[in-house]
Amino acid sequence: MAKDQEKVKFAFDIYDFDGKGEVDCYFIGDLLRACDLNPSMKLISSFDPPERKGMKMMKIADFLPMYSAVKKDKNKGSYEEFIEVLKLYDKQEDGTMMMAELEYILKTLGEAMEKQQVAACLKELAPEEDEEGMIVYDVFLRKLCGKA
Amino acid sequence: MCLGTELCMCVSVSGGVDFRGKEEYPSKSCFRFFGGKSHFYCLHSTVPSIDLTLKAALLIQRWYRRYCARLEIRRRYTWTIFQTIEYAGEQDQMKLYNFFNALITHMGGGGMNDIMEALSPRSSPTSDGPTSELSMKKMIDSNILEDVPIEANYKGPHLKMPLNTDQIHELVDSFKKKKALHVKYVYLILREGVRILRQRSTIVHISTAIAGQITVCGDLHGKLDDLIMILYKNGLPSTDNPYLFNGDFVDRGRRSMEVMLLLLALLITYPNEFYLNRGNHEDMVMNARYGFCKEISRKYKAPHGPRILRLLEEVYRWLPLASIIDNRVFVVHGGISEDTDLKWIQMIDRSKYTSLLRTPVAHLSSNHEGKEEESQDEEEDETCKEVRKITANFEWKQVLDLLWSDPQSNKGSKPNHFRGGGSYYGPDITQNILSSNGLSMLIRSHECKPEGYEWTHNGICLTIFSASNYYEAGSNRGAYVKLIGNKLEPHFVQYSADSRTRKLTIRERVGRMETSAFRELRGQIIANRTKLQSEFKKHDPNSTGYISVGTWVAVLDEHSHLDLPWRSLRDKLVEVHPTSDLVDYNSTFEDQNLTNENGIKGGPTVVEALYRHKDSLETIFRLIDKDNSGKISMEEFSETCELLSRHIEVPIPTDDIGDLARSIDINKDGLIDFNEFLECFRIVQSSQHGKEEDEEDDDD
Repeated sequence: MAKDQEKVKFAFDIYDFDGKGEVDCYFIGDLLRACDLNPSMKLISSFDPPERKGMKMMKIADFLPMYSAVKKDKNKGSYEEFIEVLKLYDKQEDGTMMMAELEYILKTLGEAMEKQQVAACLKELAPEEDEEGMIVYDVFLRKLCGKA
Repeated sequence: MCLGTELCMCVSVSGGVDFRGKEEYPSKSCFRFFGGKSHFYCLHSTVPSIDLTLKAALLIQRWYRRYCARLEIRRRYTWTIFQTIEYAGEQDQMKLYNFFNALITHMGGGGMNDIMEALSPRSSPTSDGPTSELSMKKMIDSNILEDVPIEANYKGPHLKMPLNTDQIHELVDSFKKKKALHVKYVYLILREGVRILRQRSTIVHISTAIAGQITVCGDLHGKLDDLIMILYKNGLPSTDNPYLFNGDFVDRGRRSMEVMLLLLALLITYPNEFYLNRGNHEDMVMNARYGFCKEISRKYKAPHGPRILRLLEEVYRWLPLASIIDNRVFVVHGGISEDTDLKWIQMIDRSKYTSLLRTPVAHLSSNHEGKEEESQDEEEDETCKEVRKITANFEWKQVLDLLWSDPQSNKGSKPNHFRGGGSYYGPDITQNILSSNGLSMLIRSHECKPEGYEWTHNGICLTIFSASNYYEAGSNRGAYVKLIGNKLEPHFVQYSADSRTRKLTIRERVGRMETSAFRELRGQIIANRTKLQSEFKKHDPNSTGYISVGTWVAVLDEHSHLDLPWRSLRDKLVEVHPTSDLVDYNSTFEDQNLTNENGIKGGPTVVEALYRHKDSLETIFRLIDKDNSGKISMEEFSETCELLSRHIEVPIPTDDIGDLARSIDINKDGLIDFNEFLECFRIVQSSQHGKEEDEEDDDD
């Protein structure tokens, strides 16, 4: 618990640009994620983050309940779950899947990411495609989940 | 089989060979579309339902967003480390002037005269010591300097007045090929540059009536690649394409000379469309510390080095201090303070500020040779003298504020302790100064920003910074702003001049920055090792080698002089015991030591003290080294160390200095190569694999 609090305090201090003990609510999502959580956009929007910077500030006391609420969320997803799902796209059962499929999924489904974001994501995390457009998805997942 | 056929969009196809040329596949196969491409392949197992796929998508997206946020946090605190160390260094610089003042007041004669001379502001050309001003005028107005023969093997450009676009292209091309410009043409460019700058006012008024737009660029700091990138992206100056460069052209980067020459060449070629503001690094004392002097001494040997420096001083003192565009936008390098008075500034004789790091008051009271305006004022009473002092100080503050200040988000204005000079100014100050002068926006530079620019003060203050990859490859983008149309609407262009970094992933870039930042941070820690270690030991009476995290943090907070989140950084700096929350404080130093190959006596404290102040030492050496030879006499060396030792907390015994000097004077000619001296201060691992904290190699 103490370690958690430290993590939160550290991240909070970083986003407290002016050293006044306040963080712009615009950064709620970034802050939660920096604290090692991965809330969905839907969950973040339940905290009512403003659309622009400079509209509303929060103190660490305001933030902590948000942190606890998100932490409780059981539906976190894990490396093992991902492997299970992506295995289903592994037609040749050799640990590879089509890069294009992954792209499609990220771009159209769920809380869809924009084209540039998807491109950045793949550049960042996915290994090189082979000549047939396949990638080793385990590599991708390991980097994603920070096990690399 | 397909699960939930209606959901998976499968189309049954029978027979055939799949695109990989594999054998015939079973009759129930699927054929799917992905963003226009179609693939079909063999399906032996289940197809994931939409639900499952959705869930996967969501989870991956969430994880990716988290991944980015964590990288962002790392990037931000790495940035803080860089900036803290950078500004702590600059603070030293301003403190240096206190040191110089003390020098001047208490010393006199000997090698210190040279320093005093280097630092005194020149009085107006009307009064003053005869020799230096006149000979300077001669240098500028005639072509004496250019009487330099050109060697047969010189393959670089030959420049001739009037400069034109073709010659600019030649110049850029030869710079790209890393050729140094022949000193004859360096003189030409510097001289002509001074001639033009002398004619400009202290605050320059620019109009976009003809061009309909103007491009404003920020700090370049000797990064020639960024300048070339800007010219490439935005075109050469012309009637339709005017430019304003907002200071800090030199220091830190390794091609300051080329940047300065190119900017001046552009000024000479397009005088009506090219504008320059002075930055706090257009200052010889800063150059002595931050690398420009070193670069010059490397590229141009005696007697040219010193002459170039002298000409650069002329360039600096004649650079305008600020510009106003269309009576609406105020552009200045640092910023303002509540005292900023534009009408007064317009009337200042800016040319007396050769270096801003020299208080004018000392000048008034020093018995410096023949530069006294006051020599005739024996009868002036004390009040008048006081008033002059106060006025001189106030004027100096005005100029310092313009070139050294930073915006803050709090209201009001206060001295800038972080930097050691200039002020912090809040949004209300900006609003007031702008309104009372009928202006609507302030554009400034001076601070590095990750995206190359940043708006503050509710959109009336803009920081623009044009040196990409300033702290480290991948640390930040550079940017310039184009003010377009009647309303001078800002449009930003961002870039990174280092092609290597574009290929790196964000994580790799952040990783490199982090490594670099922590290496620098370690250097700072090692420089204070003895003190820190003794403080740690005080809290470890039983010599267990361990102290609590809280204690470790407290010691660093108090004795490192760096305001950083030590607690949060501890995992990267020290070994933390996994369960007991104690730290092995010796591991803070990671078995690193400063070299002591020359056997500097007085032990590690002396070595560390010299290391901590080596930048100051280097600055003084370069200023003393009038002929830019890289050598000073033993006497000057000893005097300098001795004076320094009076000013720092660790006294350096005279004997040790003498020994040190002698040991460095390897060829016993009574001269010390201070580059070699500085080489003494490296950080090495106690083990065989030396981890050197050298400056980058001087190979372009």
